[in-house]
Amino acid sequence: MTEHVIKVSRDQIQSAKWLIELRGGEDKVSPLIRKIANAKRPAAEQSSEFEAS
Amino acid sequence: MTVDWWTPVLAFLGGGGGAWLSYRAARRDTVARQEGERHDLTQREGQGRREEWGRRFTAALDDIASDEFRRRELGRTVLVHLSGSELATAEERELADVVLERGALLEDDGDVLPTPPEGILVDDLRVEEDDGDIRKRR
Repeated sequence: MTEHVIKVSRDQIQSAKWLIELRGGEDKVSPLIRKIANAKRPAAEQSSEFEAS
Repeated sequence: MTVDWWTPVLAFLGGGGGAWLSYRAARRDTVARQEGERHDLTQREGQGRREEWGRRFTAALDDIASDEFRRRELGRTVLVHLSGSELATAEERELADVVLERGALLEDDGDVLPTPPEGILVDDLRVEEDDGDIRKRR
């Protein structure tokens, strides 16, 4: 199955985290907001690979 | 003779009773006035706290629209903190909620992330933080 990647800004991540805080838990927000709040930085080698290609 | 003896006693009792009633009435007035002043003071303090809360809430919303990340983050911190206050109304809590939800879904270019993105299950999404390297890919 194809994995779709969405890129979000730090502001989006922080807003999602604060929304979870405001509502009182991850179970009170949509799955997409939960994913945004837990977004990770891409691995360094992934970026290098891409630039090389 | 008996009447002569009772007259001053009755006068004394009447005077004493009148004075006591006057004292009670004056005391009741004083207590009512003090309670009224206390109520006014409490009301003024409540209004003052509410006005100060409103100023901070507005400032937090302004900060969220700042160009600096640090200031935006502090704005979000204050917004969430103020929304938990007993001074916040349901409408203001909802406003804070909407601002943060929109902030989470709004991309830098003004587009809003669809929920869920066109025909894709949220479980199939990988969400990554956009950094300088990723911007080069676009």
